[in-house]
Amino acid sequence: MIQLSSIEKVYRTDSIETLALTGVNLDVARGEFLSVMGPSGSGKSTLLNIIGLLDSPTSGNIVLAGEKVASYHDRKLAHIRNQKIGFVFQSYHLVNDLSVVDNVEIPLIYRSMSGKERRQRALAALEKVGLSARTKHFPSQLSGGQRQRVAIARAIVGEPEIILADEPTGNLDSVMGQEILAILKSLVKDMGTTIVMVTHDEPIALETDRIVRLFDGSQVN
Amino acid sequence: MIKQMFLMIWNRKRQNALMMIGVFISFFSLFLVFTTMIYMLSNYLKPLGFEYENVWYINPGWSMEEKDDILETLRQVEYALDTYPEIESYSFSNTFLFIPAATNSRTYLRDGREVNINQGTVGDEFDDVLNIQMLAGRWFDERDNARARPPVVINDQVRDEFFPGKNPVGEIMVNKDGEEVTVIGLIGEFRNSGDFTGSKQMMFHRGTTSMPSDWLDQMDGMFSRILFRVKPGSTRELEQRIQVHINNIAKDWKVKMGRLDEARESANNQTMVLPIIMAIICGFLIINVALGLFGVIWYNTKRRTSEIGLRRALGSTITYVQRQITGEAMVLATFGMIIGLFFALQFPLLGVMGFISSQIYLSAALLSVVIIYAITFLCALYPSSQASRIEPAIALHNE
Ligand SMILES: Nc1ncnc2c1ncn2[C@@H]1O[C@H](COP(=O)(O)OP(=O)(O)O)[C@@H](O)[C@H]1O
Ligand SMILES: [Mg+2]
Repeated sequence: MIQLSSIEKVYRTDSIETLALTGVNLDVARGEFLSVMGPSGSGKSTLLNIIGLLDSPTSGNIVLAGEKVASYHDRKLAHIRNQKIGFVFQSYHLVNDLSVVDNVEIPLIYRSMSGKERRQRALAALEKVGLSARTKHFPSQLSGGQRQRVAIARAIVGEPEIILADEPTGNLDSVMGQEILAILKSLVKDMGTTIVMVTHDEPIALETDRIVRLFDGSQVN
Repeated sequence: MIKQMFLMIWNRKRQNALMMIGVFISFFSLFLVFTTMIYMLSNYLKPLGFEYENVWYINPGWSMEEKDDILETLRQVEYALDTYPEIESYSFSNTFLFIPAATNSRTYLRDGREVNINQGTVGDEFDDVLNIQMLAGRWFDERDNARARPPVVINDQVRDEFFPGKNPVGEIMVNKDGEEVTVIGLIGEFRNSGDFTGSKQMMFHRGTTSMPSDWLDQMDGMFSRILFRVKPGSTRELEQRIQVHINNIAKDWKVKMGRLDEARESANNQTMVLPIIMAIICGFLIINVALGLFGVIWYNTKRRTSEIGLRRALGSTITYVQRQITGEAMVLATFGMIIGLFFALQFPLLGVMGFISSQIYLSAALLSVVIIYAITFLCALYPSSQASRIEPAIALHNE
């Protein structure tokens, strides 16, 4: 599903060069639930951003669901992100000015679809994460765990093949963290979704299919 | 997509309220300025109803005098004008030609309803001096000396009010004091206040030196004139010669001379003063609102860096981001303009200024909408280009 070969990422600012990733090779199979672990600054988010086409590698190749995305331009990349990838972030990144259901609808705005169908799908996604009772609320009226569930509903509303989660349980207590993990695991089981999740939490990582560890931008296995 | 933009603005209506009010105020003042300007332009395109070139005038400036003495002096002035081959025709005139601030009207009754009609008292040659075209009937002449009722010439606008679709010649009109007049002639427009002023209802009474002096009762020396048409190309030197000549005849009068083309220019300038002031104030308002709009759009874009990054991550293209920023600004402007349109619509609906047609109001509103949208679009250009540079990976970095 995801193939990375010899990925290198260098951040250049005026004077400093940061080597965020060096020689990363990664193969994630369809329906695999992979965790990425490593100390802060080891390049986990960078790796996820590169897989998610939010950032381009300095060198190396990416194949996503059979598509060689290296040469793609903004429009096409946006299209792939929209169709094939769902994102979940540590700090939720909900739009505070929009209600829960409007937040969940965002990925569908960028598809041609009737407003009615959009609404139906968003409500279905919210039902999957157990938030049917909160659809008209605004993010500020929800707890952290609820917000993350909204974010997951938003990630799955477009039925993507891949979900990328960057420390989705990082801001939550362990009970809520377990809830989120359960939802992600059910996605893999029921829908065959491929998930790459960055986490600091060893017990949570141990419940996934495989763990990849990064240190200073390189894989350590 | 448009629904999304409405949602984003609507959900923040409290924060956006001030800006909407700003847009509303500038829209409304633009509307007033454009209404005035389009009204004036539409007037400018209408005929004046008379020809002012090569028409000069003597302003007699008599003061407290016996009306018989005034009549006698007027006759002598006319004899004097007869001696100039350059003068083609002359006529007494009391009509506020190109004096926009002054009006003289009298109330006539139409089926019991009161209608104010602008009044003028002029001589038998008035139509020749100003080249006024008759639409029906004739201008005053000697035949009017022996009439039961005083003769009047009215214009189209009076006809439309009193005798719609009819030839008014021979009709009798009655004023509030019960005085009756007979209509003997019909003319078209007579916009004596200048090119930018609207059509008016006009009625002329007869006043010539061949009549007994009674009609001079209501004439004053300030606004009365003796108009005369000179041959094209007549010089200042002729003007001075006439002035000296008249001064010799009318020793007690404060005689002034002038030309209608110059009077017209100064009348037009006077009429332009108010709209120009309005336009300047409106210009300042719009600059303020444009700066405000720019600030709000800019601030909103900065505030929403992570939202924009998120939208890019979820599938929004760069173009879409730009369209969203611009579109939301347009929606904000639309809300302000809807309030403005509501108030603007009251003008034609309530007929606040009946002399301005709905069509003019509509064009002014349309023009204001276009201008406000154009300003909004320009104000959103820079913020939206900045928004398109937001890197999703950086915008979404955990804070
Ligand atoms: N936009 C950026 N510009 C410059 N350096 C960056 C940028 N993003 C990340 N880095 C650097 O790259 C390295 C890896 O960062 P990151 O992938 O965020 O690590 P992690 O998610 O594992 O904490 C760090 O040294 C970080 O400072
Ligand atoms: Mg990170």
